[in-house]
Amino acid sequence: MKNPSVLIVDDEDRWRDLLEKLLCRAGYDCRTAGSSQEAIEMLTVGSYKVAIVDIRLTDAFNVNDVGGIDIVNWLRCTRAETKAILVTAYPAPEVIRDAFRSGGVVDFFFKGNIDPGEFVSCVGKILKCS
Amino acid sequence: MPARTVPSHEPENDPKRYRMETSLSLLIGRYVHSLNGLIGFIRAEVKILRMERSELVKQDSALAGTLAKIEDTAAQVLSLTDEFKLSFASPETGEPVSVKTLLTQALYDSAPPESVTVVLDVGEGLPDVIGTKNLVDVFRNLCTNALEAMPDGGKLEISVKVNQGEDRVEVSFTDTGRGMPSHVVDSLFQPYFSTKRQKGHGLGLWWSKAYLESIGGNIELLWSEVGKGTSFLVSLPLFSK
Repeated sequence: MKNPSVLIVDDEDRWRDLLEKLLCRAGYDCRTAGSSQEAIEMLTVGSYKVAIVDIRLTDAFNVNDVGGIDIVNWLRCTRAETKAILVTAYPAPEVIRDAFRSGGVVDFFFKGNIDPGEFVSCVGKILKCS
Repeated sequence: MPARTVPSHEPENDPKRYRMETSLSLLIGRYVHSLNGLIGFIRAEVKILRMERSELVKQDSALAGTLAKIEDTAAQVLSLTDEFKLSFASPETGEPVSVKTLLTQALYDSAPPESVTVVLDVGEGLPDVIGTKNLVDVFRNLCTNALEAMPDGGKLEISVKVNQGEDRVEVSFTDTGRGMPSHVVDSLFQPYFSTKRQKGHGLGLWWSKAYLESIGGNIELLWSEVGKGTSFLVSLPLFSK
């Protein structure tokens, strides 16, 4: 059985490794991207059913990098079949609300108290439905 | 202590201060973001360890105890960053307001029961202070502490006066509750590490003191006696244009 595909986008390698470890052990085929530029390149050439996107990818000193929300907007316009799950360590309610309202975002996890089992289960459900 | 004026935080009144506070808020936001990410990582790894080594954890009580301590400590740090974020990560805004208005709000929020007599002794013509959400929270925290010390009823007296010599408003909170033993008094203003929240806001006296000092005010324990009650004094700088 072909494993569905997940892209993890996070600028922190410890979080990329942790989320990848969780999903790979659950049997899902994962790739990771450490910046929004890298993510969009991979999303352009590849086909992913789920993108796990960290909201705060933007480095305040790197004006050329875009944030996680921009990736979500890009997905909605260019890869509508890819569902996005947002993660963040600084939940700003209005940012999350707007992302849900704009479409394409199916779930959200706060890194501060993420439950690994619940996270894996959520990704699994989305993959089953897509 | 010289009088401290606390100007309004509108940008057109004090653009330099507004820019400084906005930069500080952004900086604090970045620190909170980083801390939350690090703490969340620790907690997630511990949860994964529990999931994947569940049999080992069941058999080794020392290991289970250590994991529980790590999780508990991480939860406390997360709670602290949450309070910190709520308190300081947005530029604080406030308008000149009477202390009576702030105290009335705090009392209403703390919902004293009928068994407690509340006396609010505020003179007329008192100068204004800068009213902020954080200041109401400090007052509400003190009211709540007093009410919790009087589960069978009692009296809470709040009195306000101007200390002319030091250009400050002084607000005392005196209750007839159970009072505090000396070992509690000694650590009264230590960081509040507890997952038990008081009536939903979880503020500690250490936070109240830190906040008041940041605006040029202070809080001190005037006295506390077991079986008699407790009295706190909050001093605030006056607002002057």
